[in-house]
Amino acid sequence: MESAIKLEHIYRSFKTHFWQKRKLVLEDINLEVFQGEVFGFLGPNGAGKTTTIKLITGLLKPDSGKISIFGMPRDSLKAKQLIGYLPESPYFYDHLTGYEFLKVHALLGNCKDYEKKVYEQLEKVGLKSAANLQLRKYSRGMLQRIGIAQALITDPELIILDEPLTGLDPIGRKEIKDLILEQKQQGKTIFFSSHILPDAEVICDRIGIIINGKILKVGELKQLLKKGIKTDEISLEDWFVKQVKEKDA
Amino acid sequence: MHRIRAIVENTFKESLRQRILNLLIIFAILLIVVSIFLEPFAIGESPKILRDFGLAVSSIFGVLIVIIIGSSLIHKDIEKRTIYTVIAKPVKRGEIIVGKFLGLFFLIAVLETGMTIIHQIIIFIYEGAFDPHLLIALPFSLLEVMVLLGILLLFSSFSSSTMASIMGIIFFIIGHGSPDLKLFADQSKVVLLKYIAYVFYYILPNLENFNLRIELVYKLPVHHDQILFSLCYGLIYTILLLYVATIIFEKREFK
Amino acid sequence: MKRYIYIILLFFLIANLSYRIDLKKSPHRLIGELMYFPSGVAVKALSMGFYAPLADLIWLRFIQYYGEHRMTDAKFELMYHILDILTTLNPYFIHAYTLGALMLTHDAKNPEQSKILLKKGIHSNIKNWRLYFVYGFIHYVFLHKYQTAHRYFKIASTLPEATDMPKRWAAFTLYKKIGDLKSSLALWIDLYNNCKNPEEKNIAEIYIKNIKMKLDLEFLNKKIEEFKNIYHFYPPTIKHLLTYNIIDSIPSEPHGCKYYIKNGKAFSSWQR
Ligand SMILES: Nc1ncnc2c1ncn2[C@@H]1O[C@H](COP(=O)(O)OP(=O)(O)OP(=O)(O)O)[C@@H](O)[C@H]1O
Ligand SMILES: [Mg+2]
Repeated sequence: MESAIKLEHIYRSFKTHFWQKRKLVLEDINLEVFQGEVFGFLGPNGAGKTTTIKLITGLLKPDSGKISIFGMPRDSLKAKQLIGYLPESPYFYDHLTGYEFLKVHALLGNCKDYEKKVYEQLEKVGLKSAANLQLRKYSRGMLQRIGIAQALITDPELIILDEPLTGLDPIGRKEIKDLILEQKQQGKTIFFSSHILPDAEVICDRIGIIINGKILKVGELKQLLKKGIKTDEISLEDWFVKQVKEKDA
Repeated sequence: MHRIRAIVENTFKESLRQRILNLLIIFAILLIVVSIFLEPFAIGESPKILRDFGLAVSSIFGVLIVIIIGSSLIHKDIEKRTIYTVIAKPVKRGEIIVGKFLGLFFLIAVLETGMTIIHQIIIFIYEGAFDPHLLIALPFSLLEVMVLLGILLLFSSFSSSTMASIMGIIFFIIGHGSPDLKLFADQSKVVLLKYIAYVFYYILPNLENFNLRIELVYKLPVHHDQILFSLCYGLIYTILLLYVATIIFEKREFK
Repeated sequence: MKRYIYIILLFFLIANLSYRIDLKKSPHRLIGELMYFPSGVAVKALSMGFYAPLADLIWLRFIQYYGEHRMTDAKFELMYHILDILTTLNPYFIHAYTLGALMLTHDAKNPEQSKILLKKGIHSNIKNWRLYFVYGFIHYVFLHKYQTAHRYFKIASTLPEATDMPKRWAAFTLYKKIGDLKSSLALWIDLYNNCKNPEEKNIAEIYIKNIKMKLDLEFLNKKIEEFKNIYHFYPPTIKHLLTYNIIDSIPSEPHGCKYYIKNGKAFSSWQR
């Protein structure tokens, strides 16, 4: 299988204050996401999920290591053309309407027939009636959905979602999950981070666990669960808690 | 091109929503009030005052908007994290800089054109004729806006928005004080100081090159070479500023 | 690397354009700007509260204006206008009044304007002795109005911070008319020693040299007559005075020129 994302020996540190020593946030991250799969990137708060995703989308640069997207260097416009990205708890231009917002991103994503694409997406995420409403009047769930629409508008091969399920009600979560699965059906690769393990459990082909900036485990969901607990019935959540505790001990 | 256009439109609309064009009304009121109240002081100079004041105020309004809005153009997007989705799209960083630049620039161009029209109308009301000679001030005022906006974007590309506005103000003052810098250079007796002053004089943006207001009000001759060179000067300086801003912005991370 | 080269090239282009624009600009633009303001009141209205720094700036340009015209055409039509704007912006700019009045009288040959300027200064700075002193000085030295001069020197001497210069001068005016070259010289030297700024010293120096020259010529002419009385012919050169032991040494010309004799009269080559 060909890889959609490949991270090799990624290190990344931050300086909180300029006189302080740099704090290592990601340590030797090696990760491969294959084409056509749904990959769940799981980990506790502050583990480094968002940092990893920002490195992939080019918002941050690694201290060292190599990132490739479908075999291309991450910074190339060609690679970026293939990515759709939903940031963590996204904020969008308050004063733009849903339509205007999507139009900007369609144009930025080099969409040929942007008008048609915009309406398609609005339809898909169920925001057609809110097309001419300013984004500041959107609810949390609506914002999450317009954010996903913005990510999908270029019809990307690789969809990267940072906590797409956080802050949504069960119906909202169901809708997003369906959307993800629909994309998977079309052969797209989905990489998402999450805290909400039961949901991840339903849609992921594979998961990766990151704790304290290090990849703990990567693998197929079923195998991991079996290996960890030796029974199928235990939930991912229980397994996860156990893993974290083991690690701390 | 369509990517830059998208950013231009977005910036234009965002800035427009801050009700900047209301300044046109304030401008008109100011001009009328000034021309009425200064009349008794002016002793026969009121046509000149109306011209001086109109040109000065419209230029100052443009500069104020550059400094106030220009400084937050990039930072608002970073602070509100609205830039994240933009950066992830296949956009070059330079396109973002140029788009932001043009977006605000077009808005100020609309504003200043509006003010020029109002100015002409008020002159017409008072004197029964337009003064088309003054129209040359408009492109020059816009050149000044261009260079200043370039400076603000340059500083925005790596420092805070407060810092960017302060630098904008400093460069505005330096830019208009450049004749005095030259004067200093001409007269300085310490050779080293003299050459340093000359280097600064020729490198720092000389905003006085865009100040033809006196010549225009008094219908003094302006050499057409001066107009042409000033035009090139403004454009090239702006290109330089945006180029450097892009280089810095390309290295920028979004934490 | 390529990028740095581009940037440097652009800077060169900019500097070059800047240079070309300067060549096309009208050279007297600096002061020209001020010409178009009808009055200090208008400038003040447009200066947005920065009166003092603007006045300083105008002062710098004024000095430049003064130097430029002194070197070239000695035309100072705008002098009063600039000083008037400046002192409207900052009415406490004493230098602009005192030095300005001196320049207006000496260079622009317009003592009336300098009187108006000083009156304006006194109006805002009633207790400043320098203004009264310069007012008296101009009446004494240039206008020969000895009574007015005396009155102003006296006022100046009673004001706070006044040096003893005005007192000295007040005494002077009582018994010496300015036609007397020696006392005139003493006054100028007194002024020269008591002023600090180079422009003022410059003006004083000019008068000192001129008076010194006039005194020398007076002296030489007297000696020439003496020579004639003894030898019954006029000395053809200054050297003759020396060789015939009429004088001990030839006085040095204060401008660095030479004294000579023509048709029995002494002259300075500076006078040509
Ligand atoms: N700009 C920054 N400056 C300094 N430290 C940072 C910065 N961004 C992240 N960190 C640190 O890096 C670590 C990882 O942060 P990150 O946001 O990647 O975690 P996360 O896994 O996304 O957490 P969450 O689940 O809460 O979103 C944290 O300890 C955080 O404090
Ligand atoms: Mg996160």
